[in-house]
Amino acid sequence: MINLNVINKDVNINNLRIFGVGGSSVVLIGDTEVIACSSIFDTPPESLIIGPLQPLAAESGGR
Amino acid sequence: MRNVRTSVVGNIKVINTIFSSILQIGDNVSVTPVSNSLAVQRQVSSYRGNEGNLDEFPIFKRPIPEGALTERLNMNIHNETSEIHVGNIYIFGLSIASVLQIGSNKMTAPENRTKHIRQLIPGGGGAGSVTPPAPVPPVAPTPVTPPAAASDGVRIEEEKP
Repeated sequence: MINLNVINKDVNINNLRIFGVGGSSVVLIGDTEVIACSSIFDTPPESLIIGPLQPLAAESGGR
Repeated sequence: MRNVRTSVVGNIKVINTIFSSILQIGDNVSVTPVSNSLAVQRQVSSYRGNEGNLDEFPIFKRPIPEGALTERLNMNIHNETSEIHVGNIYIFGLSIASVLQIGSNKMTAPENRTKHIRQLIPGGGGAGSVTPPAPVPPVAPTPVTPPAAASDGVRIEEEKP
């Protein structure tokens, strides 16, 4: 059993300046219970294709 | 909801929100933005506009492992004040499945899956080449014999008339 006691003191921020929030990340001004960010990024060697330019398969559905 | 504080913000300035990103002012229960993207770079900028079948790539289907919480957790939170104060917020960009929330929630679970594909022309510098090759005449996207399909590589379909 983990016992975690959190005491939140007074929070007073003047300026918050962020250039970018990207790739499943969170900026939260408030309270929460769970934050579970996940990101899968795939750049394997076989993703580099050298050959005549070919289109990818068309989108499924819709068009 | 549990004892949550009130968020007080003077000014917010956000220039861009793109690709399944969320700017929320207020409380909610859960935020779960999802973004699936194919990032394709081509030596010759020739795109059809309807390309990209996500079903062909396992990365968009495979389950994402979760961190296992093996022990029971007993969390006590004591808030000494009832408000969180922020004067100014300036954010240039919110992108792929990201969240800016002024307010409280129970759970935030953003999910992003990105598959990169780069397509180069043979003889035009090669894989190890750093500098781009000499100008290449524009190539129409006419399908030729597909290359040997890699496990998670690109499968090219013949063009249907």
